[in-house]
Amino acid sequence: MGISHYPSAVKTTAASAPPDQAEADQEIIARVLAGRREDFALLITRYGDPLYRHALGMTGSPDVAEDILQMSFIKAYQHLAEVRGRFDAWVFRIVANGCKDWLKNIRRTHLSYDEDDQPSGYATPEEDLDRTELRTDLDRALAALAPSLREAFVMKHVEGRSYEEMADLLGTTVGALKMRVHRAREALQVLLEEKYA
Amino acid sequence: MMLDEPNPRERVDGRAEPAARPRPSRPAESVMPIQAVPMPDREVPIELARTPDMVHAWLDGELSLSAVRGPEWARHVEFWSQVDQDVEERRQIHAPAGLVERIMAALPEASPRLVTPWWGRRVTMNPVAMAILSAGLVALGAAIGATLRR
Repeated sequence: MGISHYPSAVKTTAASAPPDQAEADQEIIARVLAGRREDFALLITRYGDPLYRHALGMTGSPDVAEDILQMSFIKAYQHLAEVRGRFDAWVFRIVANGCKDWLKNIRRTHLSYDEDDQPSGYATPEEDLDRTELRTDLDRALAALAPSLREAFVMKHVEGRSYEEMADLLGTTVGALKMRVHRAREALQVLLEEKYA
Repeated sequence: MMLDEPNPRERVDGRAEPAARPRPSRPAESVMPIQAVPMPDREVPIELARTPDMVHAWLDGELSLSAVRGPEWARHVEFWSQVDQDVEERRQIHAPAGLVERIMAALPEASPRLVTPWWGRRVTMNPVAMAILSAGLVALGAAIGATLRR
């Protein structure tokens, strides 16, 4: 395990659309509204991956994440004429609300993590086993967190968003989000440390 | 460096502690966007670890790794380095193949249109229709008046 490898975890990536891309989104939306339905695929392609990662991080289930993404994009298509401002932030809120609705509706006992659904790219079977175990344990630990803490942790560490961007997307303050991320880390450490530290 | 101080005694599920302890007010948490769905809390009480502020600052990208190389941080750095290996892989995950096609196939046939409530819609009427409507209203008024006079 290389500690020097770690800084990538705290690196903040440019997850939001730059101004040029936001303008391009508006042009695509205009074309879709003018009847070029097929151009909506450009928006799905552009934002599908980060939104899928968010849904997967929140639900822990690839199947559920895909369902939420599909429903969210259908909803986005139906209400496309109502987009005001950035499309990426608007569609993110649809997906995030879809995840929250799903979490609200399930019982804790229904949470499962199907390891067979997960991709595997490890070098050896032993390494694969160890990493799969950590992944499963981390998923279980994430599932045990309050959804607001899980959302903050996933956005910060899995999606690599800055606190400012998270605050913009979630409509809350940077201070509140830092608090959520810190509490999520501390809870995860309690849940996992005995085994992995 | 300015960091928020997490309260280690507060339960992660957001519920109140059993002991009668005054909860710190958290006004920022109550500021939710209109369109956001409130987060449900889960009934999983979890004790919190006491992660040093320095480690949080490192994880937040405010400090470099060299700042937390001391033995007092080693346990935390080790732990989060392990977690990072998994998180790094999650960061590379892509949406399933064929998802775009499946979504496009599931889209409704009707083009998206701005739905305006009936009271906000514009009504256009040509002069002939306007004359007929006016005559109809006059006739209706006369009929009602005649009925009331009887």
